[in-house]
Amino acid sequence: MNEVMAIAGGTWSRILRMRAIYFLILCVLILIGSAYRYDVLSLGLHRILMIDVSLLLNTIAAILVAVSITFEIPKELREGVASTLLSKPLGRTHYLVGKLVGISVAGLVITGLIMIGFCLVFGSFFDRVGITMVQGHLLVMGSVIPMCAIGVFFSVFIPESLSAIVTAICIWFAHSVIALSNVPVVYAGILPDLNLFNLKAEAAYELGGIEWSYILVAILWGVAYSVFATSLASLIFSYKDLK
Amino acid sequence: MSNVIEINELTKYYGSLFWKKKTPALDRLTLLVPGGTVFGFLGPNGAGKTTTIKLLMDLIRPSSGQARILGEPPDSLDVKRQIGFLPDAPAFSSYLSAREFLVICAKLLRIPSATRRKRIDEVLDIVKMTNHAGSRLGGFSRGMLQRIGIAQAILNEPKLLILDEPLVGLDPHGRQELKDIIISQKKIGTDVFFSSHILSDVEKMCDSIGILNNGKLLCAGRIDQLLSATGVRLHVNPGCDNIAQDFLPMATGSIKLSDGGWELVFTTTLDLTSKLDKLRAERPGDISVSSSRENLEDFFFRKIESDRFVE
Amino acid sequence: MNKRLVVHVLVMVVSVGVSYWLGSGLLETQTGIAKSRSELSKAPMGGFNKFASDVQWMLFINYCGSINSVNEENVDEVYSRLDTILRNDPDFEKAYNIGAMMLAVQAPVRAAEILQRGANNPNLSSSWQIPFLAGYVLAHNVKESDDPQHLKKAEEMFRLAVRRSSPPERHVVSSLLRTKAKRIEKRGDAFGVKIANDKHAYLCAWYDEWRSSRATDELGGGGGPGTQIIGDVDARVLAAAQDAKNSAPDNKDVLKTVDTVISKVLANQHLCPSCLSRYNPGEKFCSHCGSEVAIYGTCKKCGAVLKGRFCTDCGHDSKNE
Repeated sequence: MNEVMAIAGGTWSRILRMRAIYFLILCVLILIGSAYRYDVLSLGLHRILMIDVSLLLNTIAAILVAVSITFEIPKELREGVASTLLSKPLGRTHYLVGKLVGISVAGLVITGLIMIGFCLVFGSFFDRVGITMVQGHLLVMGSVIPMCAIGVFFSVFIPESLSAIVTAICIWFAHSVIALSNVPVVYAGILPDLNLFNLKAEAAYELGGIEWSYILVAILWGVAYSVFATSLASLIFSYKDLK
Repeated sequence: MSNVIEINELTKYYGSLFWKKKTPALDRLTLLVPGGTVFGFLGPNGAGKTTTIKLLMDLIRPSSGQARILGEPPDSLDVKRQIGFLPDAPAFSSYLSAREFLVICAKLLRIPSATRRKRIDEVLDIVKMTNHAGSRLGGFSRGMLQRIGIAQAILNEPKLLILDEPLVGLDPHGRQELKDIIISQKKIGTDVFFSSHILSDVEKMCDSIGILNNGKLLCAGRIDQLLSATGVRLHVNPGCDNIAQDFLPMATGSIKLSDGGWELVFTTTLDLTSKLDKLRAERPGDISVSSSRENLEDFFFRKIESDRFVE
Repeated sequence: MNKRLVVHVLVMVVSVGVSYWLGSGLLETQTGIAKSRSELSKAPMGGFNKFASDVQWMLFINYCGSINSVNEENVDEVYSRLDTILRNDPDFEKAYNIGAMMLAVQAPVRAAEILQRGANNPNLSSSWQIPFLAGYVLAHNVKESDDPQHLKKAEEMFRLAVRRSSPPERHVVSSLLRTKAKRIEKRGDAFGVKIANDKHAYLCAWYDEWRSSRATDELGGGGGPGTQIIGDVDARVLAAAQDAKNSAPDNKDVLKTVDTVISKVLANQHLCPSCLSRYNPGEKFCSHCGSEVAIYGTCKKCGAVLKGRFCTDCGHDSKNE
């Protein structure tokens, strides 16, 4: 566990030290706030628009964080950083899990900051922040874990530029499961069904009815799926020759 | 003393799962590295030195054969706790400071947090990088990275230090310091296995060497034993080409000198000795004979050259 | 090596099993939360259907601002844009209301189809405007709006609107009954009599509604639970009866229906037999038409109008009368 946390700590500290991240979060909050000005163009639907924009931007932030790992792992493999670390008493699985934990924590912090920022912005424009909106954002945060696992999976055997593209496409289609298939044996099992984290419309309309247990189980699904993806990645990685 | 490294019929073909190169990078390598030594692993570029080291560090998987370090297979985490490794081109996370990187290494090595800081200070002092402890690794020169590489390799006070081309990229001063570090590690009982191109340094530091070419081990053993095989050096004066022509087939090495004379080197045999005695008696003014002890560089080139002829 | 493979495969199998199990349960729960998800566009939108819909909505508003009116040239474009918005967000109530009404004149069938989609969306089950507009378009804008099938659909939509609005808006109720009356008129008979005119049909519609509210639906008009929320049914039935009688005072079928309605619905009320207006206790003639009416509410002893149990003129106790 110590080893995993050592790798994870290095990863999340790298991301969270980047000043550009906080600048981007600020830009995201400005964009969310600017949705208020669309009251005329949307015929008075700016409240819904603001919630929807916040969920959209938070999801994009989560996807970007997940995609960033597809640059980091292949880069470390290419430059030999991974070899240096793996020459220490660190299993390859530990390395991947450490990377997954690190990037997931960074993703959770970033999406969490966006959620808090959104609540502040929304609260300053409207009277109250509904619980359904927060639940929508929590689901987006929960989706960070399986998305990062997908990123880790592809990054162990696909070159860095290609793995970013493949990961982004995979995440996109995993969010579009409803358009592709309703076979739960394949989706949500072997292939990821990130649509399980998508209750954006329901959150935007503040329909309510999202149980806390649903969010919890969705996060558990994300963790279970991440175990599967990381395990498969680790198996492939264990046969890989390192630079 | 038992062997710290045992390599048995180790073979490595590079390539993907579905396609392998026809020529092995390492061809049934068998090597024993005894404990209590500084072992120099030599070979030209592409000989398979780095491949061997990576196999020992479990960074790549062998196609066949096996290796053991300190009696354990290379993927054993217990073994990795007892060894230090410096890769050929040390690369570290550029966003970390030297100290932060060493802290991560110390955590991986399970150095207790109580002594972690002290040990990191010690190794930074050893590699003379204390003043740069807080600087980002991304801004370090090759030589500085090499020093940090050494620092992380000796952080856990290893029983065995495996260094891949440790002298590359260092200025003469840095090389001297690194040699001092290696010697000091030897003094405190650490076995050292390192590959290098710089033969003069290897000759000075190593007790044993192994020479690898085209993935095959040409020879291995104690350096004093390998180089003690004395030979004979025959100097033929200019204008005596006929003498040189007579002896050339028996020579293990020959050079035509700029003044027109020849320098021939032979491995001593009874037949050769009698022939030279006869020649010395007949034409004492045309030749001079002296005994020769090869230096490592000569030995290395002779071995590589003879391997080329065999092929 | 083999041990590593076995451990990895084992972990993968277990984790796939767990994620499949959890995923199946989540899908089921999600279907309950996101009820309209099956209506979503099948285009791979990456889960951003709602945002796509918002953007398309604003573009739609922009586009609508750029055209003078919806005509033959742009009706397809308007429909296409609206359909895309609603395929990406089937819960977009405003788009149903505004968009469909824009199409109502030029493409009423499409407008009605869109509105019916919205009316059947479980997430919009609290909206009475959508089914009302659907009914309105079906009853008034569709060319074949006299077609009984269209009328039946329109009636269903109006009834949905009545059920959803609480208390029901007066014009919604009126639209429901008028559509029902139109259907009865088209059929030509009700309650065993021939329909004389639209007012007669309207009375039949109200009478049927009254019966439906008592779980009797002889016309099969789709009454039943829910229609009880229409308040003041008696007064409306009465007004309809008055209109019907006035429109055809000599028609036997109308009179028969009026009699039936009065005997069933307004049995306890004191109505002028001629104009069906209510009259007050003690009155001998109708204040509206002057016809003689049966006196009620007077003291049997002195003939004074009773204000309570005891006569205020003679003190007679009317309890046992």
